[in-house]
Amino acid sequence: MKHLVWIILAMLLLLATVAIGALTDITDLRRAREWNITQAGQAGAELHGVHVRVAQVWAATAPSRPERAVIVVRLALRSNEAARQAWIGCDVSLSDGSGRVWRPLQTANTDGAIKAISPDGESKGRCTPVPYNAPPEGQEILSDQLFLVPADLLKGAKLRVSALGTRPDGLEFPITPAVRALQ
Amino acid sequence: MIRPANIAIVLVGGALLGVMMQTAPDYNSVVQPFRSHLATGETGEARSFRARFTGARLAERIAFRRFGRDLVRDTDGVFLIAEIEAEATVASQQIGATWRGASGRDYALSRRAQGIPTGLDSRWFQPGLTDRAIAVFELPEDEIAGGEMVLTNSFNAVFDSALHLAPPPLPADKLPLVRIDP
Repeated sequence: MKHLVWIILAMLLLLATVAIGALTDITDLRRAREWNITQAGQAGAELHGVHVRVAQVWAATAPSRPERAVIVVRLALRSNEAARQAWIGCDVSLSDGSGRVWRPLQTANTDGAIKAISPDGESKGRCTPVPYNAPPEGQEILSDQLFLVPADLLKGAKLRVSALGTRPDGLEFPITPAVRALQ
Repeated sequence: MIRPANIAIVLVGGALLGVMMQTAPDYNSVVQPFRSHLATGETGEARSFRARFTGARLAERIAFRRFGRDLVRDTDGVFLIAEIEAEATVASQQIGATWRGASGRDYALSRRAQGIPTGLDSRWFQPGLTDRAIAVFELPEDEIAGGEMVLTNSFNAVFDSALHLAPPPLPADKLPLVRIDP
């Protein structure tokens, strides 16, 4: 009987060790991707206190590389600073519904490419919920993301928006870009 | 009094423990990526990308333009300029490369060739799009023949896949200068 108590105690401690060790991994896994997606429309939607809206989407193709296209997504975030701070970053990606994911380009040429494609010739910078030049509270914070994708994706892509502080929650927007052919 | 049988059990146990300690793989080798060996010209399929070793040149010096400045690098060894074709299959990603020399040593990408046009270190590969990139290694001459290029997920290759790509036929002579253009 005395031995049985020790064996049960050892098993309980083993289980407790596994649970404590797994806690960090489970938290990491929950934050690794958007497990809980909310579909959003043109008017946008709220994600952990921040209103997210897709302001504009443009795309461009070049006759020399017809199999590929670039997409520029202009996002608009609006909320008080506390909610934006709690986001801890801003992650934007495109998906095709079959599990493939495209992340924004961040190269030395990205800013110039966005300026060349956007009709207003401007680049609002990458998405950050707390930019150094944030507009007064109540106004939208704009950002531009550039994606290099297969041309097929222009027929129907989904934009996902989330952040370290919001995951496993995220938003998904259907996007239909206005396509422009570059010379 | 200690019986001989008990002493034998302790000795056998100690010996078994010793054998286990000697033969247990170290942490570094336990968490190695899963390797696929590819023959010359074959396309390798890793967990999150596919790639092919398409060409190789040897050079005494390389020239390229970076941030508006023309740069020339020379070496006491030889520059191996490896050309690859790759495509991400899951998500946009970067690919890391090392050269496993004939001696079994691993050589990282040359930091002296950082920022070359279409350089692998700055290239992002996208799902559905095949792109080319150049990997430049600075190697002792006797590490090239019999070596292979190892491509992995650049972020973390632990328990991921690694492609070991045999090189295409290497040129007999090294070129005095190779200019790397966009």
